[in-house]
Amino acid sequence: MKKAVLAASLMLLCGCQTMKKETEKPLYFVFATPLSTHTLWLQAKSGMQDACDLHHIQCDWQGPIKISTEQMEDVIQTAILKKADGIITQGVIKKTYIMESMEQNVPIVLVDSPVEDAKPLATICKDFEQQAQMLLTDIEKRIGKNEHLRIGIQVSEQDFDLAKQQIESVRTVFKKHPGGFEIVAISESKSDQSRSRNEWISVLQKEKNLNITLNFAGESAIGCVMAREYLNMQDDLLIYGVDDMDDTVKMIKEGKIAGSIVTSFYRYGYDSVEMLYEYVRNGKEPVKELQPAQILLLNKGNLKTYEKELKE
Amino acid sequence: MMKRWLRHNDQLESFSDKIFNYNLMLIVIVAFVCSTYVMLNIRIIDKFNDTYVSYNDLNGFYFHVKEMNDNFQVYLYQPSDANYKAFRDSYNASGKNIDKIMLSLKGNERKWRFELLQNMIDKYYIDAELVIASNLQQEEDFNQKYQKLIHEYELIAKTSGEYYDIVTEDMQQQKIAVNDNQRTLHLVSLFFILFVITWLAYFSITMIRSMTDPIEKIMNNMNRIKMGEYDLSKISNVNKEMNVLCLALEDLSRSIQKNIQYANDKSDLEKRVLEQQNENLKKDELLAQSELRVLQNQINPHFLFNTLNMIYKKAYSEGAYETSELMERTSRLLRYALDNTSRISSLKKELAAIENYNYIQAKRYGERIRFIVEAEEDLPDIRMPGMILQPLVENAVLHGLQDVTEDGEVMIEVTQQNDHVIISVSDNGVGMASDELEKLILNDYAKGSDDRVHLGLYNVTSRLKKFYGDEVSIIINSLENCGFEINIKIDLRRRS
Repeated sequence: MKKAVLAASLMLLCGCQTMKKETEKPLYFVFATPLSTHTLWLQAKSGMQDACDLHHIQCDWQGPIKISTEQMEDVIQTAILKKADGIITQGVIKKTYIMESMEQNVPIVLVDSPVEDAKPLATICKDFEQQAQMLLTDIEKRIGKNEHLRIGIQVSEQDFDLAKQQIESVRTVFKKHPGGFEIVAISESKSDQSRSRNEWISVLQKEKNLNITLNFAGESAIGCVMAREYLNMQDDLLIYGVDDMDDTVKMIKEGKIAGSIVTSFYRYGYDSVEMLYEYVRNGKEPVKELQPAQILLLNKGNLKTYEKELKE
Repeated sequence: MMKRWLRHNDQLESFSDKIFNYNLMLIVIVAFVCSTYVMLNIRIIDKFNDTYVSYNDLNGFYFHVKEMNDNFQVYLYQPSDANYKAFRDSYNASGKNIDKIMLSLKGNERKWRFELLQNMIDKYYIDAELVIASNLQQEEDFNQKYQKLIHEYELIAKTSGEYYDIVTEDMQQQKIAVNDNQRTLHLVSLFFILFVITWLAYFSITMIRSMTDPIEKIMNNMNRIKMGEYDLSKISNVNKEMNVLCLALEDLSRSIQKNIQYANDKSDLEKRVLEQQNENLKKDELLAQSELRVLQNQINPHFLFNTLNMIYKKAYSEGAYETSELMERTSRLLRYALDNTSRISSLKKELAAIENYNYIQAKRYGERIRFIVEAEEDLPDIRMPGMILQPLVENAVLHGLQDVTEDGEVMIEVTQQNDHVIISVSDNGVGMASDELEKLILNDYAKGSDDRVHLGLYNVTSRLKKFYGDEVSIIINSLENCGFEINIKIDLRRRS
C-alpha cells in the first residue's frame, strides 16, 4: 500500500513525463505535383511518403487537380518562402523557378520530364530516345520494317519541354525505319480524358490513313481507343500509350492498345526523396544530373510481371 | 486460553478502527476521483482555450501580415521613420502571433508548420528590405522585385486556408477529445457512483454483520453456556470489542459453571445424606425386626435344647448310652448351627462341629460311608464364616455318594502349607464330568450343565469370597466316576 502511494506521488511529482531525446531539426520536403489526385502521381506520393517515413522527414504533397503550371509554380514559390529543405516537381515549370530555388539553397529534383538549362539538383526521367526505340522495335515487329508509318501523336501540353523532347526523340529514332515515317498530327489532351478523345476523333476524321498513334500523355491512349470505337474504325491502327493506368492495362489485355511505355512513379517519389536527403543531410550530390528511370514496354506478354520487373 | 485471548486482543482491529479505516479509504478514493475529474476538466478547458487562442493569434497574424504589406507600401510612397517603424512593428507583431501560436500548440504534431510560416514572413521581410534598397538606389529591376514581393505577400496570404484548416482541425480534434473526455468522465462518474453505492452497500452489510453476527452467535451460545458446550473463540476473532465481550462472557460462563457444579455437588451430597438417613432408618427397622426375631427364635431353640437335654438324660438314666450320645451330638450341632449360621466362627469350631455331624452321619450310614477328619495339630485357629464344612460334607454324601452301597468315603483334610491353610473336602463318589464341572465353575458354582442347582456349594463359595475376598482361592477337582474334591486355600499373610 505504502509502495503504491509512493509510486503515485512520484508519478505526480514527475508529471508522468517521458524523456524526449533532443534530435536534429526534421527536414521538410515539398512535392509540387502536376496532378495531386491522379492515380499515377499518387504512386509517386506513396513512394515519397515511404522514403520520408524512413528518414523521419516532414513532407507536403501539393499541386493542382487539373494541369496548371501556375499553381505548381505557386507551390514551388511558397516552398521557397517557407525555406523548405527540398522540392520535387515535374519538369513542366519555368526554369526560373528551378534556378531561384537552387539559388535560395532549396535543392530541387525534377521527375518524369527535364527542363533544359535549369540545372536542378537532379532530373529523374525516362530516356526519351530509349522510349522511342522501344516503340519502333515493337512497331516493326508488328507491321514489318518496310511499311510506311503515318503517325499521330498526342501530348499533354505541346509547350512542355517534356512533350517537345519526346516528339523530337521520335523524329530522331524513327529515321532508322526503312519504310519511312511522317508525323501527320500532333494534338494535346491537357491531361483530360474527354478532351483527349475529342482531339483524337478530330484527328482520325481528318487523317484517315493513320496507322500508328503515339500517346505521350497517360490518358491519351484510352482517348484514342474511345475515338476509334466511336468512329467504328478497323483495328489496323496500332495505338501506343504511356503509363499503366487501370484502363490502359485493361485495353492492352483486350488487344485494343498495342503497348504502353511504363515507368515506376513510385520510384520517382522514393528516389527523389533519397537524393534530396543524401544531399541535404550528408552533402552527397547525385553522380550525374540526369538520372534515367527504368522503362518497359507493357504489352500482353508481360502484363503479370511488369510491376515486379519495374521494382527490381 | 484467557491469556491467549488477551494477547490476541492486541492484534485485533477495533470496530471503531475498522469504520475509521473504511471511511478513510472512501475519502481517499473520492478525493482521488474528484481531483482527477477536476484536473481532466481543467485540462480540457485549457486545451480548448489554447485552440481558441491559436485561432485568434492566427487571425492576428494574417491581419498583421496584411498590415505589414500595407505599411510597406505606405513606406515606399512616403518613406519616413514612422512608416518604417509601422512596417517593422507589423512584422514583429506577426512574429509574436506565431510565437504565441507555437506556445499554445506545445506538443502538437503540426507545430513545425508554423515555423514555416515564420520563415515566410522572414523571407518577405528580407525581400522587402531588398526592395527598399533597390528603391533607394533606383535600380532597374526595382519593379520586378516589388512585384515579386507583392506576389510573396499573396502567397503568404494564400496559406491562410491551409493554416486555418490546421487550427480548425485542431479545434475539431479538441472537440472530439472533449467529447471523448466527457464520455470518459460520464463513464467514470457512472462507475464511481456504482462503486460508491456498492461500497456503501458492502460497508453497511459488513458493519451490520460485524455487529449482528457475533451477537447472534453469542445468543446461540448463551443457552449452551449452561451446559458448558459454548465456543466463543470464533466470535472473539471479529474485533476488539467482541473480544472483550467474549472475555467477559467467558468469565461469566465460568462463574456459572462453577455455580452449577457447586449446586450439583451440593445436591449430590444432600441426596447421599438423605439416602444414608434412609438406610439408617431401614437398618434401625431391620435391627428392630431382627431383635424381635432373635427374641422369638430364642424361645424355640431353648425349648428344643431343653427338650433334647431332657431326652439325653432320660436315655442315659435308662442305659441307652448310644442314644444318649446321639442326642448330645445333635444338640451340640444344632446349637452350633443356630449360633454360627450368620456369624463369624473359627477353624477349630468348624472342625468340632463337623466331628459332631460326621458322628451322626456315621451312625446313619454305618459301613456304607466312612467319614475321616485329618487336621494338623498346630493349625492356627483362623476366623472364618460358620457352617462352611457341613454343607460340603453334606454335598458329598447327598450327590457324590448317593448311590454308594459300601466303601464310600468322605475325607476332610486341614493342613498348613507355608502361609496358607488348605481345607480339602473330598469323596470317592460319582464325581462330575469335566464339561459339567466347567459350567459349574463358570456359573460361579450356582448351576451345573443340567441346570441343577448346587445351593450348598454356591452358598459356601459366595460366603467364603465375601468374607476373605482375594485371600481365598477355591479349586475343584473332579472326574466322572473318580470322586469330587474341593480345596479351599486361605492366605494367612494377608489375614495377619
